Amino acid sequence: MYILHMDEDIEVQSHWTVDETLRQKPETSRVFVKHRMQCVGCYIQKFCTIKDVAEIYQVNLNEFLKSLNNCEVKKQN
Amino acid sequence: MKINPTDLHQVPVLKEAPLEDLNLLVEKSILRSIEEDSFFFFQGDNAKYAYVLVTGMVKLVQSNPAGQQVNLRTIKEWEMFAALGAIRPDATYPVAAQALEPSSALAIESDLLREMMQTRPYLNFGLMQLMTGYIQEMQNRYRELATEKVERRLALTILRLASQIGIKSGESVELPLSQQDIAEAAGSTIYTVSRTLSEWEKRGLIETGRGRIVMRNPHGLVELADGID
Repeated sequence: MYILHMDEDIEVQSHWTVDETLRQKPETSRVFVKHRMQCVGCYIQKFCTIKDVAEIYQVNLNEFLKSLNNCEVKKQN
Repeated sequence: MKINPTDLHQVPVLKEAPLEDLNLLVEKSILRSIEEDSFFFFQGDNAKYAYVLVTGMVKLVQSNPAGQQVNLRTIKEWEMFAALGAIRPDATYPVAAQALEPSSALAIESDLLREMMQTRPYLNFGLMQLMTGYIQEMQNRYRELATEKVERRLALTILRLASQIGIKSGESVELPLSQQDIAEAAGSTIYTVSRTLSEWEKRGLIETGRGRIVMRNPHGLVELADGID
């Protein structure tokens, strides 16, 4: 069993599923929406990896990963 | 802004009209210009005028009593619209006409058009062509509504079931369900399910087997369910 740490150091990997990505880094939902992807709320999140998503929506995988990992958590002050 | 009567030859309904008729139409009609988002007329108004759009773009929208709107048609330059008052003197507009950009249209009195129709076969044929075009389009849309609704519902059902019990194998997702199971889950019949699934199989979306369905292109089904197809 592993404990889920929600810190900013975790890096989204290309083999992660959408489901996993959204659970570990919920703030990435904005990135999917911004790319006009239907992933947030999609029924097949568990089956699609980030690599699949990049292929389906024809975006560059590395740049997509970068934007997923660079998105900042909106801090409440 | 003034309209050159010969410009009206671009209107399909008037393409056979002699110049004197076009002169008469321009002389007797009013050019109305409206801003973006304004209306030429509202649903339920008396159909006193038929319109020819001269510049801009107009959408025809119909609302139900609850206020839900359906966009029925988009009118482009030199199309005639709202001509039903020419045929039925007591008609009211079944739609509202809203400008999508600043627009101007020639408002032709329905009474004038009706009077002209008595002696001008070209005008009758022109309007009949417009009407049969509308009917054909509506028949197609009706068919799409009646059939594609099922397709979307089935796609949604399968996706929902896949999220619960699907098993990933390679690029595909496998569902251990029969067509009967799918029919029951979707509130449909096995005939409809079988017809739709074999159609999808031809398109490479899925593969069917005994008591199982393999989603070959899960994202394709997502698009179907969203109606983006």
